[in-house]
Amino acid sequence: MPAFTPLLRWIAATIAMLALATAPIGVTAELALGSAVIVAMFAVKRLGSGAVQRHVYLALGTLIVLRYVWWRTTETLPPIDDLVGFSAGLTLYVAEMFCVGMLFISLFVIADPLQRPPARRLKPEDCPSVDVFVPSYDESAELVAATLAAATTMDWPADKLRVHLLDDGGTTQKRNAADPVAAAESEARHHEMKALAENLGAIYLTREKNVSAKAGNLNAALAQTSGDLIAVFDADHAPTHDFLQETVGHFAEDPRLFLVQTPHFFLNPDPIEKNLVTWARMPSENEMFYSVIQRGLDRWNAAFFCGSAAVLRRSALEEAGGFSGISITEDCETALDLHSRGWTSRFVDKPMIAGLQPETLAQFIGQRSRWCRGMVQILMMKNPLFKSGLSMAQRIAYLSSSLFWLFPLPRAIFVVAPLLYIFFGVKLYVANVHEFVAYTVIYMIVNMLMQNHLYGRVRWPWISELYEYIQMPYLTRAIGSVVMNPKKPTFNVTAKGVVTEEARLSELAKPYFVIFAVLAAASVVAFQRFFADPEINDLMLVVGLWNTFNLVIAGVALGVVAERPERRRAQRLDVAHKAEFVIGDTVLPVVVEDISIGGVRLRPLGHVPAGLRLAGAVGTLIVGVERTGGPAHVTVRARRIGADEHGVFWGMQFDRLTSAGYRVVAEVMYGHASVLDRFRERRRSGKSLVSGTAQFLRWAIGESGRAVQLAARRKPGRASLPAQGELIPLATVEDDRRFA
Amino acid sequence: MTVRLLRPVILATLTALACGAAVAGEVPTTLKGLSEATASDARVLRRLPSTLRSMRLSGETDGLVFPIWLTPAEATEGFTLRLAHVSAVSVMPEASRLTVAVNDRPVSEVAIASGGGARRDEFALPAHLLRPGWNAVRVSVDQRHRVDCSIASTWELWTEIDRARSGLVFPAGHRPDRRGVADVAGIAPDEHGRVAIRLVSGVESDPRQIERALRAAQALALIGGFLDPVVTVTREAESAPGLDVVVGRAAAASLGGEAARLQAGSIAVLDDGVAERLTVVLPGSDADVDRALDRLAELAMRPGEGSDAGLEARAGVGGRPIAPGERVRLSELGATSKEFNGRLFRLGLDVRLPADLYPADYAKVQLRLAGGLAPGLDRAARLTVRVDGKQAAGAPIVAPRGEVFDGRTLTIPLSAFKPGHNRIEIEAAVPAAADRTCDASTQIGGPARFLFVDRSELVFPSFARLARLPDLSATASGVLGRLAEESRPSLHVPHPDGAALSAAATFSTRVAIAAGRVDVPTIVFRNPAVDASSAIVVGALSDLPSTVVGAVGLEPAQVQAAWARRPLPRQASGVPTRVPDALARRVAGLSVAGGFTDVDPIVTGSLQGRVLTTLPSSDPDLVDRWRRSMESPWSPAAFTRQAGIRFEKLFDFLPNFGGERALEGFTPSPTTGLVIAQSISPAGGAWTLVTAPSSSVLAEAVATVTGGEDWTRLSGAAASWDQVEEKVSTIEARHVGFLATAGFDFANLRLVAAALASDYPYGFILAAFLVTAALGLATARLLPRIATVKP
Repeated sequence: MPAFTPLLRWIAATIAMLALATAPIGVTAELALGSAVIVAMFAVKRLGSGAVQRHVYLALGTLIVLRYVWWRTTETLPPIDDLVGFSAGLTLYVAEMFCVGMLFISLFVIADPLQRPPARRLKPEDCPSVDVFVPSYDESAELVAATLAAATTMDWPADKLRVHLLDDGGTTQKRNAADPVAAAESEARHHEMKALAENLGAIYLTREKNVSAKAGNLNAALAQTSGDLIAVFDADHAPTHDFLQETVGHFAEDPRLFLVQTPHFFLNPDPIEKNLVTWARMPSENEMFYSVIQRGLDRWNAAFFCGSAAVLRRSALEEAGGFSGISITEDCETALDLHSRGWTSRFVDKPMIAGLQPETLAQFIGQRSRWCRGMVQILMMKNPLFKSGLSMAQRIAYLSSSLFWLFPLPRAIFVVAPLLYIFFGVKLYVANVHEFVAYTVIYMIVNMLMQNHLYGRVRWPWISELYEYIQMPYLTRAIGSVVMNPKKPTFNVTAKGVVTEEARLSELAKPYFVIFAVLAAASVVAFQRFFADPEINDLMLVVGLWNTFNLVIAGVALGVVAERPERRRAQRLDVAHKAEFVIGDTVLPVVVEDISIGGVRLRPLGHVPAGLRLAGAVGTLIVGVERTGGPAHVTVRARRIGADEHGVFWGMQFDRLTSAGYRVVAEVMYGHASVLDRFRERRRSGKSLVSGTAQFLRWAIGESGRAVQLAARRKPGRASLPAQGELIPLATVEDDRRFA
Repeated sequence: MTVRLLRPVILATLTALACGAAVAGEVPTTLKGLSEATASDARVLRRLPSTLRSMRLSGETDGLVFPIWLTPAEATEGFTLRLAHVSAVSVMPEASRLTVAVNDRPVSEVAIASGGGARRDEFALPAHLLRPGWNAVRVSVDQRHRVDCSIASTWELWTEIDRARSGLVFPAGHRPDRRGVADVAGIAPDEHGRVAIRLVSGVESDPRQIERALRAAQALALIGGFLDPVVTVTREAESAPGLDVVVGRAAAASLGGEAARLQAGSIAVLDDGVAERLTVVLPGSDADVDRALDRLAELAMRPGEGSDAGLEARAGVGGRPIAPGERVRLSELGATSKEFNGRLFRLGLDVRLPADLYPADYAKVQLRLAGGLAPGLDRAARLTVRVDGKQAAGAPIVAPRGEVFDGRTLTIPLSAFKPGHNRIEIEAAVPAAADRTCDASTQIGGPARFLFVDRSELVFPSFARLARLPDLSATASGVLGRLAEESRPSLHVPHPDGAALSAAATFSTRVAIAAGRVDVPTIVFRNPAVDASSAIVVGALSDLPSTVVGAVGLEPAQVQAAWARRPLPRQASGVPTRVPDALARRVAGLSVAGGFTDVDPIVTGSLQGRVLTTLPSSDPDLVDRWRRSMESPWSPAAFTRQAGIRFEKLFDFLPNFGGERALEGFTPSPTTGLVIAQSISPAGGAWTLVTAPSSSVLAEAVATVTGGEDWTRLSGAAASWDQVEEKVSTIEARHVGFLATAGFDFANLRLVAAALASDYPYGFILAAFLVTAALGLATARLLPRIATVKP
């Protein structure tokens, strides 16, 4: 049976691997093995990046991980007669094994990430009809306008493209709210949005009642439309014009395809990126999810719906009764239901929408809290292990996505465990320093190497640990509340338009300072006792080092809760678009270097007439819009004149954007998906374990210092809403992405 | 010439031993009166048997346990224990006690008086504490220093028991009333605590008959619980103390009288009424004898009868055997609970690990201590575990408010052990502030500082079973008899005179006792073939071709040259039936070394002994200890040493097979009395050589080396015993080979692989690379086939 031969070979190799992993060799030999494996991993990496090298590399790492697991299981658990130590030790052990289990699940999920060839481009007559859904709750008109403008200008036969604004802020229920002020606001919004949609050639839809949140909104629109396919964009997710060209072709290739998902791409930093100032150089957190994990899931036909930037098949949705809404993560749940009905999904790794993400820690935590609770709900109410109709690979894939969100629990245990020993002498780990070095340290290094190999291009070292730690204090509670009452969580929308005006501590900062203080005290106690007290054995050194590792993360986290002021209101995208700038009678050729929905930066080409009075002047920017034919005119006001090594540049603010203006912005910003791709690619230089660690240590010192200074200066304040007359406030909505 | 003083009386004949109470069926008959050596004290002294310990009790607390066999008559009779002892001057009489206990019940206690020379005390052993069969007599001391309360001073404390003048004292006219084979255990040992066994061949030597007699001797030694009998091969039975073993029709017939008419196939015990000797006869044809030997060997595997403590003491002779994965309470190893108020608590435990144990770092032995610590001890308080004298584990034990613990675990790497006998020493240093003033009250009735509870345990892991040779320690424990058939060696005695045969028999019996089972190799009266896979050769150097000497890694010319400088022996010595007195031995050795003909024993014994010999002077342990004492605990060297990282070992890519020049650094001197060397042969077996300058020296030296503790000091690839130094020195094996032993199953294979991986990590790493490469490749091949979306 030739088909079985590879499987048999694999089983034989696995058995040999397990035999090696459980061979009880001495500490010296273990250290030699560990060091040799690390050297071999570097060597294999140098050999190239083929599939064989990749799997040999991971097999090397797996051997060390398995050996650690075997040793940890058979030798390090405290004796059962020390009940306190044993239960604490067992808890720590379970937490560690959870992490190892997650590692192996992810190794399966991303065993062979799929790089899909571009979809077939369809002839106009073969194009299916597409309904674009832009659900909105309370986003500003400007933001919605940009998205609608971008959506309506997507390349698609006009008769087969209908863009719908699904306004949940102007429902009958809201317009007739008991509170007359709220009712009036809603009424005004209803009319404003309706007019906006009509101006931009979109269809305004709203419904009677706000039930079932986003899923309910989408389902209501589903009933009122009839296109073959549904494209969903969140209100701040403006698509590039080739979005449908790149995605719809897949539906023609596979009649059982229900979903084509694309990555979410953000134009603004999250609080970690903002406060550690890494936005321009470090890959975004979600890139690991989209560029590695979703592609990995795609290999197992398990790429799932992330709420926006996706195309779905109407017939599939209708068969399943629309979008699912039992959990508060309706997107993943919908995909799970459709996968279990035998539908298939695809993922296209090309960013074609540009959106916004929460910028303050409070918003960030609120968003993550919802994802976490939603995924735990799925784990409890629609556990992929027991749901019928899924393939084994899909079960593992969904398990990996939902179990991932339990990370706050082991993370909390890793922080608390050393404290128990340092302060109370609870022994939870039976090992001496030599064993710790030979097994644990080697395991940690190998684990980091594996992570770096798998995600290195899209994730710097220790950043995953930092994100987990940042979310841990609040998400631990979120998990607790869901477990207590799985049906309770509701879809809540976080405050929007929040910007950071000045350096201040986040309103959520307190727990991070408390943990940091406790860890710092513990490290002092640990080392003081180790050096001063002969009774203390080397275990104290080990635990002290471990606690100090936690302290380093906690120190960097302090930098994250110390919010930096964000001066730039609207996020800019670097572009290079030729245009003409008209001021008075003068027509100047210019290049648009960057653009946001607030304004543009222009660089004049060629000679600038002397005596041109620019400051505060109002001019017209004429941009060629190729696809819609003819140039478009946008009024801009000069705000800033600057110079750099390339010469003079001008900062211009859009005076007041008309619908035509939005089209221009859409054209320049979203006309070419390659712009987003280039930006994303630029940050993916990767960072080695050594330089990543060095960077992290620098942060730990510098950032914790900054936070402590800030704490000494002022009390944590609330985030302020932007003053009237400022530049366009940015709205952030709950967006639906989850990263593993 | 049969000069037996008495007509032998047939005590019993055994025709079937199938039933459990094997010896109970024997029918006793009356004894005739016997002449007793007339002395001023008409009472009968039965000396204490030798154990692995010398008779010196040292330190603040120490104890010796002797298994004593009593016939029912003796057990009901009651008798006394006589101890002649002398103590160090520094022992403080007011605070020092010697205690005697029988079967774990203390019976008597005396103050240790010092300064007055030797003392003799008699302790009545009440009959109600005694049981027929095995009983345990424990002699323990508590000693305190007169003027010094430091930990170092405790090493000055000792009490030595004079073995020759101590023992059980029975009333005059004592009749042991021996009823069966088991009662050979009651034979009185000589003044060294050793029992003489004489193999009466009766006819011209025939290797097969010697084998049978040897088998009988081994079985009887095991039944009798003898640790180190001196076996001689003689033509005729003698009336000396000890055990005569008469095997075969012809030999039995030579006894004359009723012995000649014993039933073929029986096991007859002849008691002439003298307590210190006994004769065992196995009459009949070879087939009859073989059947009887099988039964005897079977008997030897039974634990015998007696009190619990007695049986434990009996099992502990030569170290208690340890089974893989066994959990042993320290009370089973002879330890007793103790409230200790001195400053250095020490406890020695003798264990016997399997001879084919492969010790390496793949597993650990756990010591789980139960006990307690008093409050207010010094910060220097520390637990230390030594294995065969080397520190193997340790931990500080400070508890300012005191502590009671149960299961405090110290982990001892298995690599600290060796195959066969190991002595584990547990040491608790518990100094306190009171030690600095050293008030007499501290010494006399100070508060208890350390509690040791004898339910503490040693937990042994599963052992990898593989013979790793050369290894004299394993050899001394019987590993050669456990080798697979094709590599199991024969015992070659190229020149089978009485002395050489006796040496071979003593050697073989000591190995069997260490192995705990009867194991007689095929005996051959010639040199082994050059291409033989395995061989044990016992013979004087002059009887051996240089090929044999060279085969075990010795330089024949070098050995010959060294021994050529010995003077000719003054008189041709015959077969020594007993070990010469230590002083006489040393005098003989000195005369050898110095070429003197007349040496005053007193002078030479005390002064010249050390001067004349040249020993390898470098003591690596000493230098190492110094270096260690000076380096920072944080230095890489200290770290790696603590981790047991021996860098040279990391570069042992694979085991080094073959025996070329294995014994670098081995230089015999004229005073070297015995050389035992071993090497892996080109044919894949192991050659072992036991040689000496002459047959008589061979017999004498083997008899000495097999005695007491010396036997446990054999290790490495070669050992030599110096007649003057009275010391065994060993050479570590550098080129080793591996030979499979019985019980080679899958579980063992895994452990053996782990052991090899621990010792030779590069082999393991290579295997790891191969397997990971295979898994990586297999995964890369498999994934495209099982992926949902095919590439």
